[in-house]
Amino acid sequence: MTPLEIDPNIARRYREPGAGVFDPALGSRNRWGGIRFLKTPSAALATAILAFGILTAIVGPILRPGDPLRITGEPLIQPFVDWAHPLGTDVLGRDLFSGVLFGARVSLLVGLSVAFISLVVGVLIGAIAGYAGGWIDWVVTRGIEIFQTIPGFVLLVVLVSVLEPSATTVIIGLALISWDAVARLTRAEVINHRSREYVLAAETSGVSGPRILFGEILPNIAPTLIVTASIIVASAILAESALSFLGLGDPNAASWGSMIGSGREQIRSYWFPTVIPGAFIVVTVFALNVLGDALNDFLNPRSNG
Amino acid sequence: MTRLSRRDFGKLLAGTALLGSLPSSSFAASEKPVQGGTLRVVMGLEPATQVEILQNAGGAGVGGRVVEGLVTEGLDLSIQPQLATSWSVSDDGLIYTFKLREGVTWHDGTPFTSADVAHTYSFLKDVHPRRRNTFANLVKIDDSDPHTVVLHFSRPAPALLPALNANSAPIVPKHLYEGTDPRTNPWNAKPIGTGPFVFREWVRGSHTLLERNPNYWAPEQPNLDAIIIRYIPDAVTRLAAFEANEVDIGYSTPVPIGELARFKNNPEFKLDTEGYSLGGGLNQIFFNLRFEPFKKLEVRQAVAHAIDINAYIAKVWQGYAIPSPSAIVPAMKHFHDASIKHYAYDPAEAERLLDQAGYPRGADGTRFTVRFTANPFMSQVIDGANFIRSALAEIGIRAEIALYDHPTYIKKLYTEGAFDLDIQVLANGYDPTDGIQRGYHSGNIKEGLAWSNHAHYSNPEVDRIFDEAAYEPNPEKRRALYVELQQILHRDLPAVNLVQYQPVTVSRAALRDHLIDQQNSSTSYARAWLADGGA
Repeated sequence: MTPLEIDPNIARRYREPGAGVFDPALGSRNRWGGIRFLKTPSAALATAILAFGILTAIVGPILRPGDPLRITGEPLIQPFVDWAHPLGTDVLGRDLFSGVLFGARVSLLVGLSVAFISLVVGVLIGAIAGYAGGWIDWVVTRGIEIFQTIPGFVLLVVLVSVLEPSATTVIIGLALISWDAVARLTRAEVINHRSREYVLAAETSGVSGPRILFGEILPNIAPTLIVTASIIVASAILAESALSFLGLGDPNAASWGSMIGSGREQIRSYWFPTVIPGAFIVVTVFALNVLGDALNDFLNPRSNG
Repeated sequence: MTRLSRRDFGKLLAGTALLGSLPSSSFAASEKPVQGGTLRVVMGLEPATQVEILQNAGGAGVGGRVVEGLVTEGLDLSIQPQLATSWSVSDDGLIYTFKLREGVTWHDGTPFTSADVAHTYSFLKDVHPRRRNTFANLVKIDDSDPHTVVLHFSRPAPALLPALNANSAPIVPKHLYEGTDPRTNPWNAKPIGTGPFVFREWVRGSHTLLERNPNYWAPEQPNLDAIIIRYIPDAVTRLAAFEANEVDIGYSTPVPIGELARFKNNPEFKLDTEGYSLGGGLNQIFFNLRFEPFKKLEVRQAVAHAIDINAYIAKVWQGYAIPSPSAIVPAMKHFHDASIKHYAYDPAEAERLLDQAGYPRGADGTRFTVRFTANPFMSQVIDGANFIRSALAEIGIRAEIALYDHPTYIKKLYTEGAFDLDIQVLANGYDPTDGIQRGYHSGNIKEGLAWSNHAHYSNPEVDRIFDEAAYEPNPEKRRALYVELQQILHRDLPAVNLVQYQPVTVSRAALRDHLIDQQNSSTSYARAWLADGGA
């Protein structure tokens, strides 16, 4: 700590009243916040669903070892009939239960990786642009605008068809179309906070720019970013499913979208190869959206009205 | 239990009586055709051009409805007259003489003569990828008599006639093509022909409209007023179009293969499997012989032993295929060698062969990993790739499927050679020189040429047989040569031949007399009619 650095507690005193910023150091909310959050029924439900999803993704390979794309039974066994295939089989005789378990891993891996990459990249770029201002901000903003004017899904389709379709390609492609929203949001929030008194106080005390940015401003805009992250996870899972549905995902990995894609042709006669993975997508994305809303309500008092 | 009121019962009785009073011959072929009506044909791929003079993609364009060939093939594969009324071949097999139909006019009113045939064939020799081969030794075309065409070959052309139909070698008018580049001639998109229907309009992305030709050379034909060809790329959408009574007929399994059963049990629809013999649809796996591990014969044999062909047919083709262990499909009955059988399904033997070849299972059970490509043209091929991948995993081979769009697929395989295994639907065509030779002749190892010998298979004995059989006029000797060829290919195993798949035509039962030749989606509909006058 440099001798000139201001005590954060002093800086806090300069904060505008009711600014609605998240304060990790505020004891009461921090200690009991988690439990209070879970007392909201929708938040509890969403958290439970997602926890269950993560759990199945982890224990899936133990329950159903081996490649889920292996042909293990007769084609199109109905669900809940044969306990060797509790959710039935698809047109080639692949086990749907193994498929959705493995699909949960793919979806969560893609969703979380994309959210992580776009957060890191988006926050870094947006924060620098917002804090530095001037020509750096101008250049970065134009760059973000270029990405925002390109239709995201079209860019994604082009990317994965030009490159080899694999989980890595899909994650990179999705991160490429997701980071711009994070960057824009971060930039706007940083500009908003940049002129607040706690930042001015820190500046007058001689705290270095990077320290103010990453040590002071970022923790205060974290709630917005956390909410955004949950939305990115949800939309990444949807986009990955859409890609796999179109046959542009990794053909060597089961995924919810590719299961729907291969079951689609039989949908008039056999509902389950499409409906089962479809239900998993709906529930997961729904849970993520509810969680995002609940987090927003919880972390941002102003939106409580 | 259903309760029947007295009134309902009365209705039922009346209905039964009515049914009984219908003449039993009402569905026989001797019915008098109904005039008029519009036939709605559905196609998956919209053609790049409407006349098949530049490519032979099959099922594209206006086909025999607008443009015609010298001959056509009947359902029994016999050669039947079309624009030629009769023909003869010289004893040495070098000179073909065709007598042309008289009184035929082009749709624009110009008379059709031998000069049109001569001009068309002379440019097909240059621009058509397959007729290049057919007409390779065509040295002279004599059209001095307006109703006779004489083709002079420098070497016998035993496979000529099946290549002269409306789809393979359509005759186009000399007065519109002379002095132009046939590749860019604007009439390719609005063809003028001699056929039973006149081209009216082509709305790209939607449909092509044809109308009745009142001056058609065959009296009282055609019966239909118009034909509309709709382009619907998605199989599930086509299925919905059939069920909503928006289309009357579609070819080459127009609906998802698993849904054919719904049509089979519905009296309003008819399924036909005839009319596809000239296509010779064959599904096979090619090995890339340039690289390990498939350089080794034992490894290729192991792959052949790992495939349960009956399960493959049931799961991937839903029963719409028959085993074709040989490179020449059973449909090509003049040449197919029925004594060849699939390598027995025997995973234990496959594992033994792999051990012997020096590829033991690793710690994770995998022997080696290979790149596995699949022709994206048909969804069954992708399903097939998944089936084979699963079968190979059982014997410790990890096959990683790589799926590409069509142009990338062709580039990856035929330019870059970036594959180890390739599941393919390289069709036989109408003759071994047409569809088989290209895949196995070492002279056809050509970088960048699609559907060439991408396995890099090279066997001088095989090359000799192909070269000899192509010009062998004696049918018996020709068969003997191709039988020998099939046995060598079965032994050398540059490809594992799987099945001859059976394309299915789905049509409304009200459509009659549409199935008259081997042209399937290119058929003329000259005699077709709609029993209910069209919907």
